[in-house]
Amino acid sequence: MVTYMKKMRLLFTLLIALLTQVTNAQNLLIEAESFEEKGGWLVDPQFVQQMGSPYLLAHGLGEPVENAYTRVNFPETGKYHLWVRTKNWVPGNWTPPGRFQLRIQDELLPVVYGKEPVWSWEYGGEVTVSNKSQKIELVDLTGFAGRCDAIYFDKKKQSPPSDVEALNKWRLKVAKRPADPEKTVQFDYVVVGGGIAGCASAIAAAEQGLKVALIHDRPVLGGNASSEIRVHTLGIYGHFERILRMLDTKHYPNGSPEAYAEDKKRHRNIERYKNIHIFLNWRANGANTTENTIQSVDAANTITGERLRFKAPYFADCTGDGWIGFWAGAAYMYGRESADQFNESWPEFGELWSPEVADNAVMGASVLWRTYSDNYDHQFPDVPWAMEVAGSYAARGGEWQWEYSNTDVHQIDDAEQIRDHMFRAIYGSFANVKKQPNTNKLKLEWVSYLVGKRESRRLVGDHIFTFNDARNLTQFPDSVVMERREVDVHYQENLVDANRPDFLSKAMFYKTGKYIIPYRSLYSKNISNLFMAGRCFSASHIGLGGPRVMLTTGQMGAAVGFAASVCFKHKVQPRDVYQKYLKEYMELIEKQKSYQKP
Amino acid sequence: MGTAQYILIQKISLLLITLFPLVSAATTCDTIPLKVNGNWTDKNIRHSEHTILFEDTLGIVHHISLMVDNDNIPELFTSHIETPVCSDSLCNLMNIRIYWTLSGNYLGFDTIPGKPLTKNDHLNFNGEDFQQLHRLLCDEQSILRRRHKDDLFDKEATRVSQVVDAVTGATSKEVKEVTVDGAVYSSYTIYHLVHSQLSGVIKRYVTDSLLTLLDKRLSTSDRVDERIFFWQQIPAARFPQYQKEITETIEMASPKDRLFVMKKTPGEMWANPDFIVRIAGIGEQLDVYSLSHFLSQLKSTPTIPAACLSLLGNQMKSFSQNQLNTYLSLIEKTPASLQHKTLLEILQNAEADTQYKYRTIIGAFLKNHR
Repeated sequence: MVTYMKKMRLLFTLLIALLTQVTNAQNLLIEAESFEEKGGWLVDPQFVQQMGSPYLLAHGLGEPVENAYTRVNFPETGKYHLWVRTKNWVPGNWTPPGRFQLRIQDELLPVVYGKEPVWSWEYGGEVTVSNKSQKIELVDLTGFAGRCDAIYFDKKKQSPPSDVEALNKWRLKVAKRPADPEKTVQFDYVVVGGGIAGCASAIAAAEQGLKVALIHDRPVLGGNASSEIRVHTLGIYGHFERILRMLDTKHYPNGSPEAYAEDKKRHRNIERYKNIHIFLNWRANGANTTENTIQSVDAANTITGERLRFKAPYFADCTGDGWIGFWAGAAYMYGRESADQFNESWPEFGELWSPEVADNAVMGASVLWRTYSDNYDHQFPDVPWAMEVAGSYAARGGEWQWEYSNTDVHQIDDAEQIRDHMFRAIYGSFANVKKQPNTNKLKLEWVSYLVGKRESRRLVGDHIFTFNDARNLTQFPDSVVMERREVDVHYQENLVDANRPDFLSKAMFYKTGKYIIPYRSLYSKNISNLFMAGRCFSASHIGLGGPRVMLTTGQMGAAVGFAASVCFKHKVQPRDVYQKYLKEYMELIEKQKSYQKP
Repeated sequence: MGTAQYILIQKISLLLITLFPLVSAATTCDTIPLKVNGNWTDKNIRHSEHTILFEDTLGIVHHISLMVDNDNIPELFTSHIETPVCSDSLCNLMNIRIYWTLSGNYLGFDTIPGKPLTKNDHLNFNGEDFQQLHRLLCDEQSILRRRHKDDLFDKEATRVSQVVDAVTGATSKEVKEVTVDGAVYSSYTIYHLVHSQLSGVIKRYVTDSLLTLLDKRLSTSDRVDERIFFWQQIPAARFPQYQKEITETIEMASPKDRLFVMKKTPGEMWANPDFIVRIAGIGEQLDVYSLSHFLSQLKSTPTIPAACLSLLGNQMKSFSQNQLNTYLSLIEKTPASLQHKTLLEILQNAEADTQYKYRTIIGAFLKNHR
């Protein structure tokens, strides 16, 4: 193999290599997400906590994506055993859809990856490296969600560990990295999660003068409202119209590309705040807690693997999944409470609404998608691996009803499986449409690869917001968030009719007047310096039904941002704001209606 | 007006209406004039002396009769409903006979001789209209349930009646899909009467007055909704008396109801080897919700019979990955089961089956336990 590079290219490659390649005398580990050029492959960090790492995804909607490549420096020339960490995401009696190969320098290696039904190191045989510097490419074969976590070369034929915990330790060992991040940064307030709630919280705190870190694991802010998921914002603005108008969306159909313009607006607005330090593509992975107080949150860059420790007196969990609370040991709930637990039954829908016996069912996650009619004909390949899910269902796009949940899958632990199930539903339903007459010009325009979740962990605060607070319009002295949207809880259609597709849901609506969410639902009851805003706020399963939409969660974010500023001013904890500084806090909230930014 | 109340009177003598048309009605809506459908029993049925009087929110008093078989065992409820169906500018009386099961669930309907069901412009219902009405009434979760009457029509679009001097709104698309074409208000009115008001009255009546007498009738019913209603009414502590009936219900029920029964089934039944072997025996009929619940329930069962694990093993190839992992953990916690020849063969065959998607997981499991 021949290596020929220009000087500048070499310098750049060396820089990337420093960040991404881990070499020892006998081996070389390459993290796929840190490839120098991603081509058409996308970095997917959604499932790090389950499978161990961000990975590259060939999301080509059925057309093979452009190769990703990187340049590496082997410790020495010679023969190496090769492993690729990957997964066959649809095992079954068909050719796996997520197949890909490796090209080293100019040679396409014969082994096809993506065969095993679980994340594992698939053996690629022995390769001869004749030159230390090599270009390595990922060659997608299908465009159907092939995935590559890492590539490993070793002189010995000894595969890396498969178990995720052991693998994480092995990665640190191979990289010769300590267990803790090497660098610590200090802030007044750390917000984890850059959805609408997180952004609003950062703005509110920043306007009160706090130095804020906003950590988000995507390249773009907005969460479910971003152009990556494309759900429009719903709900009312409450006290925080000025802040939320910087972040919201128009009421376009879910899935609309108009979301790109809203991304730009959101970024433009939030980047004006010099005391908000935005960490895009950083994913939190731990909360260091002593005596029920979070000391710091650790995060890693989803592309380079760089790690930071964020220290602050106050933290806001706006991750949606309640990760910071979970790591810190905060009390949380998951699933449907029994009807008696909070007296939430509604005979109109009976078990579908609130069950007699609690269970682990929750509202599902959506993966939105769109098609368009082109001026040219387009073929769509056969997708036998999708038909078990899609059946004969045919569709040209997917809105909120495309939702997946059941008692077999956990919205956090099985999120990758949920996303992949929706891929099968989408590609299968589209393939069915393409078999219908007059669909030759129909083409897939966009399929999200991010799981748009509705419900997962709910952290427990001093108050748990329930259905009764909404239907009785309970008044609270700490009324910081308000909403008049119906209590809107979903169920899967196949619960009622087993013949319906398992990826479609229906909504149940309970109409109410304007209800209030108190501040006490927005901080943890047992972690002293933890706020929460977003779908992980303190609510019952039914209580979440109304305020889970993004203007309401944005109100929560703003409310806790202002609360953090009161805490910071008096050097007190979130609970103290309610117990000792409520008047001051509520006056600050009230002021927002007429506040003009200086 | 408007406060619903019901009164039981027992003064109507036996009407002795033998319902031959019902009995022979086949189960399609094509048989005229009977439009009833559903799980009809092959019995002679007559009105009993039990009647519920109920005043609805419009102030109309409905007579709901209990119907019994030749042994005086309650079979169903029926009522001749005469109700105004009004839009903004049109008003008609609708006459229809509705049948409910003993749980208050809609069972079927019939027309009243001389009083046909009509649509806009006084057109009579045709066969497809009857079918559509029946489909609508069968759907407990129809979108009509959450619609206000004012939201049935798209107010921007209008259509002109050919007969009546009136302009009506065009039906919104999703409402049009579920209602009888040209009879949207009729569909809406009857749906809400059948499902909300009268159904609730029947449920309350049965719960308050008949439940203790209907123990056997409900727990062994051919109609799954009646069984589910019974399991809802009795405490879980009584479930062990009905092991056979509960197993049958689990086979018969929808995923939602199946999950409800299985969740309510008390721990002592899940510790009963006979019961769990029975459930494992019907595992193929379980849906993803109830199968996952069953496997999860077995995690806290002290001793799982090898027969149960073998029966489940026969269905292993349809398990999800999570279900398979749970299943293997159950074998792990019952090490003696790996001495069970049948179970071992099942696992070895799965490992050897090159078409089986999770054969490598089984292979790794067997390797660890050899």
